[in-house]
Amino acid sequence: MSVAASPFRRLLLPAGALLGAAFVGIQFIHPPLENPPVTGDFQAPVAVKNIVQRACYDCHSNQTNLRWFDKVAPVYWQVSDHVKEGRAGLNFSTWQSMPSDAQKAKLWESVNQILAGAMPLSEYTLAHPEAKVSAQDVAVLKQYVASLAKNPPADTAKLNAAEQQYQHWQPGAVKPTAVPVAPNGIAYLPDYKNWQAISTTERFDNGTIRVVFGNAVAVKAIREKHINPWPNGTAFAKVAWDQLADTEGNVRPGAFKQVEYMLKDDQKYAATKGWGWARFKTPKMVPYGKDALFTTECINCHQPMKNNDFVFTQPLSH
Amino acid sequence: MKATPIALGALLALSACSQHKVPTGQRNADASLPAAFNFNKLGLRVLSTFVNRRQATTATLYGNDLARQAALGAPGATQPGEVLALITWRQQPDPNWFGARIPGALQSLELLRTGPASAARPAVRYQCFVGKDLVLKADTLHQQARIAYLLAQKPAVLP
Repeated sequence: MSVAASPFRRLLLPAGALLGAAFVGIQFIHPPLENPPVTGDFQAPVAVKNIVQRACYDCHSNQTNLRWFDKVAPVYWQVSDHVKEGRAGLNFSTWQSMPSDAQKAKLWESVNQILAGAMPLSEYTLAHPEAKVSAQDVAVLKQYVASLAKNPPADTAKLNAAEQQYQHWQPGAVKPTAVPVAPNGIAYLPDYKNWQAISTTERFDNGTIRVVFGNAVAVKAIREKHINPWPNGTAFAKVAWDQLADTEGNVRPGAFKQVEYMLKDDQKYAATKGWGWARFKTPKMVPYGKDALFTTECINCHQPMKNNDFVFTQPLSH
Repeated sequence: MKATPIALGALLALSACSQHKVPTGQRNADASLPAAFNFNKLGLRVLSTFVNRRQATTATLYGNDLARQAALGAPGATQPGEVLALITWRQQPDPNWFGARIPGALQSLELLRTGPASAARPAVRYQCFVGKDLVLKADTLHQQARIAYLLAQKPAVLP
């Protein structure tokens, strides 16, 4: 043992010293992480606000509270990146700058991220157990967001908007001069109307009704039960309309809001989780997103489904 | 320093565990049509979708080209050769999204076909198939009301 140990010690000691020096050295690489001013803080009943502050604010507000162990490199670098990404995706300190519909959508999305176990990040709660969201906390949050969902019978404005849009729409008559293209290069695919419906959704969180279409590749994959991962060539189109409800509770589609695509190609779209993402809004098919980075938003929302090839829809077969 | 790989391993294990709640690779079997029904052979396209909040059902309306043209036209513009199908499901909460309801158990498939005119009006054949196995319903009660309902639906805007 001792004969063998001595060359080891000769190597280990300098190696250890070197690592120690490196550890001290990297502490000087400390990109600043500021807390910008709070311009419009999130408002909610106290019970809700407390949970959100405790579980989300470290990464999703300008009131980040780093503990000493968060400030030690290399952990600090990761923490710092998480906070920057967290704020970019959702910042409760600039909450009031968002329109009310967007606020509601963010809250529903956040609750769903928590329900799926995607948030708070497990590496964060490991070091900050107080940020964990209990079953009781989840119940409080669910009840709160549910209280925000109001889907009354359609008013005149909604009925008129739907009627006007319907009058201007004739299938086959819409021939745009140029095919709209999303900032990531994905073009609007008019053929989705000929694909098969693989599900329908009533979204009471945002007052829409939806049909999810799948192309022939998708339909074949469903029939053969090969849907995780989905094969290359799979294409989905999800269409959303306003809900038009009458006083009897019958809901039909009103104004067309958008069509969203997911196109599978694990090579071509490797950088965006194997899917090409696009959204076109209104019957004019206005591409969504300022630049190609809009796909971050798509991926963040679909992140809880990462073990399901990023797909929310449970498809049915005909 | 040995603790680092162990801690990293534990982190990875934990983050993997936290994802287990989400069902993966699942089809919506309850809502699927029996393959033997061969619905796709009808070659229909989606015309619209509906929800009945009181009955907690959701439905998708399909039609062939003639049915779509007729639905887009003036009321009562029925012509021979139209095929309309309305599939209705019980709703169930979306397991992947709190805030959504999706098709659950298959409830019925109504099929309407218009034939050559008799006495200046196209003959309408209506069939209703019910349950998981889509068994043809013998009962003809409410048929006229259902025919009128199906023929009155406007297509959803699909630009």
